[in-house]
Amino acid sequence: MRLLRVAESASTNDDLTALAARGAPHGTALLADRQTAGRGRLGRVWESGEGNVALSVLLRPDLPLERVPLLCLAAAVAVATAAGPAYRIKWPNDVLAPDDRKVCGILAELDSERGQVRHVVVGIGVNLASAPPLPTAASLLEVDGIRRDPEAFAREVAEGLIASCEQLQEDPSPVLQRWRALSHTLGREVEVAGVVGRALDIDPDGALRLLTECGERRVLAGDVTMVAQQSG
Amino acid sequence: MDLDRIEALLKLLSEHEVSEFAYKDGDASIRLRLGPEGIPMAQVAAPVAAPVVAAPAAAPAAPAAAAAPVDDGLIVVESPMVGTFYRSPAPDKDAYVEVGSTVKSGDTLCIVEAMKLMNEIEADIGGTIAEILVENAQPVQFGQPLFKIRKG
Repeated sequence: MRLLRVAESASTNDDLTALAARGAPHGTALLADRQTAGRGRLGRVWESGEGNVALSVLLRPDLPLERVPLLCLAAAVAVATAAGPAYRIKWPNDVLAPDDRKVCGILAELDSERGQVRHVVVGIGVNLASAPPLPTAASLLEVDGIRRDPEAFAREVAEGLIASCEQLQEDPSPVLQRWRALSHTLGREVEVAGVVGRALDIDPDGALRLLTECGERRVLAGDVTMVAQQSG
Repeated sequence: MDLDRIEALLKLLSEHEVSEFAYKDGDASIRLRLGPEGIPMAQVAAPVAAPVVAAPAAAPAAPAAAAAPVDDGLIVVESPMVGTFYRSPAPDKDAYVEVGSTVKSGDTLCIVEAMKLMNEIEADIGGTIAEILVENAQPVQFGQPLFKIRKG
């Protein structure tokens, strides 16, 4: 693992993608102290204040395309593990505080050609010290009062993700098992992509299996919302 | 076209480092392409009466990302993975392409998302978008046709 640290980046994913195009090797990580135009899913803005982690990791895995999304699950496992036992993962890869507020967002970008992976850039934003003023967001600092060093945290996450990436090439089941052990979603009533049901398990490809009124359904993309449990 | 002829063509392709070859004779057409590590892969579109030709030494673990069966001069771009199809980088952004858009090889056509992994699907060849086969934000299967591109 090689960690590059810069004072500022508009988007660590974009900057690391540019480095990848110039031949940066597997395991290169880019940490920015400030990220000014971070992106989330569907063009959403990811705000990252100073003292937080804006990290991207470049991977060049020897994986079939259908297994590549598991890297997003592995990234969440790496973050939740580094953050501590209080934190859980909402499918597929949001890391949540005990009160369900989000402390981390992950967005990966795959560059492939004719069914072969060229590279994957996994972007990981962690609210270490501060969170945007949203009711659904929290920082690790306000949750557990621990002040963490961004570079040490980023190193631990990057190393965890790279180790999982290598493991996924051999056998994905240990990574899936670690994800299950940290899952916040399994066993709950959730809504994702318009489908409501009880989250049963994840499939070997990472898809979420829901038990709905009309039987089992698999979902592969979408935001998970908890469905309020009815009393009685 | 017989097997020996195809074999000879594949050999020629390898020897001359030609990565792709398309040939049409009446209503029989063949498209040959060197796969990863120079493994030849063949896709044959033939009328029912013609013999079906299996790809010799095809690479089983290497599905074509944007496979391209020849169909009336139209190249079909297929989804390389299961996921959700997005025509634009964000809901409030313009679509990457519309019917009639001119694209060149390497241009992004769409995104297929699976579990927050964004896969930008690129055009393999230059041409004009003839058809968009999937609605925005719909789930797509592996190998599902997404676009038809008129070559040229």
